[in-house]
Amino acid sequence: MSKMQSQDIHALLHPYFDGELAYSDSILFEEHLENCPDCSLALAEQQELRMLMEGPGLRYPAPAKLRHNIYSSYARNQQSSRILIHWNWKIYGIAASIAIALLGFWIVLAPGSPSAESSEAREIVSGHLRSLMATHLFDVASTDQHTVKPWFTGRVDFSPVVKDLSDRGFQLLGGRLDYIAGRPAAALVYQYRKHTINVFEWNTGVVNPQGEEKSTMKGFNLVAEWIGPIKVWIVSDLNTEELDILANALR
Amino acid sequence: MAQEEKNSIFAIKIVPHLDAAYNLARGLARNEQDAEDIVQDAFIRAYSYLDSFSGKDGKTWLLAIVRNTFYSWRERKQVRQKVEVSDRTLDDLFISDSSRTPEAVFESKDTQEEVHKALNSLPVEFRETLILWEIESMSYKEIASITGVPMGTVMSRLARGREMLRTLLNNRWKGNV
Repeated sequence: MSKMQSQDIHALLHPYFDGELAYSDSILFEEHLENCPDCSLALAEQQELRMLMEGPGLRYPAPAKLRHNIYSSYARNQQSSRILIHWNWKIYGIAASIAIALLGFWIVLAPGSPSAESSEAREIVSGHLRSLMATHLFDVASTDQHTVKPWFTGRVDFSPVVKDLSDRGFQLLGGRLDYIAGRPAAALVYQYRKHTINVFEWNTGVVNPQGEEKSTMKGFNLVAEWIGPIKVWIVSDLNTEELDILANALR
Repeated sequence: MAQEEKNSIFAIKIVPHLDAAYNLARGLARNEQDAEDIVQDAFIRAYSYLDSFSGKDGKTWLLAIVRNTFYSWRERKQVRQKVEVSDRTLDDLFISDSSRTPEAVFESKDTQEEVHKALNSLPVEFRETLILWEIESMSYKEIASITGVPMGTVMSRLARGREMLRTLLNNRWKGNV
């Protein structure tokens, strides 16, 4: 490219600006730039334009509804052992349509028919993994319980237990709407040291006399308990003792 | 591919790019509801084509599907209504506003709104190239792969698209700054 025409070298301006030029061409263009006020000006203009495009106004995160449709579809499909991608989703509803089994499906798939409890635990673990992998921890990010709790009003049919437990080392990070077994659930995210904890809560509609349940799955520990009709599942890679501290504090 | 393997590949390599998929769909369709439909449809397609996924670059692969889904959606739509929205004059797209300083220009919400509108008014091939580069930070090579054109075309579309944007915004602001 050493005998580049001036016209050609001007064509390098954009790839130069974008850092997409090979090294040798970059050098070439920089030499040109020293003697070409037009190109210098053009570069400054491009910089200005880029700044204009950097704002959040051009960036749209996927709406929560869409995200839930895609994430929750596995829950609807878990009873069946195969995915029906040919369903007409406009008829069968959005959740069935996506037929994305996600990791949850993969975990839920087990030989035999699992008991309701253990399949619930599987869902909790997959919900936890999903939140970590998809980098979708929050719909509402706040360390303030008075911000997080009201956010759920109208989104779930109960008032979730949200507490500021930072004095005990459990830092509230935020909350999101999740789906467990096809039901809307409040998911609260706490952090304890470097560990992320998901607390899933939903309204079972009945006051259940069962006490605390514990389980371990895929390297995660789970503790479940009841607060009135609300079932609370706590899941993390923390050990069970630490999860117990949180469970007691929430009660 | 075994079902379980398929599901975990999908969850790990594809689903995390949901935001990027929506962003591109939104920029192409210029409308929230259509973007949602396109993304849903694209995820169904992605799942059913998963056997053809090399396992390497999930984002590029998914965005190519989103783009194709958009084009087939647009075709169906055009058959129905024939006219495209972009026929509005550019003046219609801009809010009238008086005094503003250059400093304020970068900060204000109106500015972003105007940049957004200017971008939306570009022909689709320039719009998609700019979105992929400026917003999704894809490389020339990835954009070439997504849009199915040579890298030289990506380069010239970026250059041309930026010039169009600048001209639109300059015309808009010249009288007022």
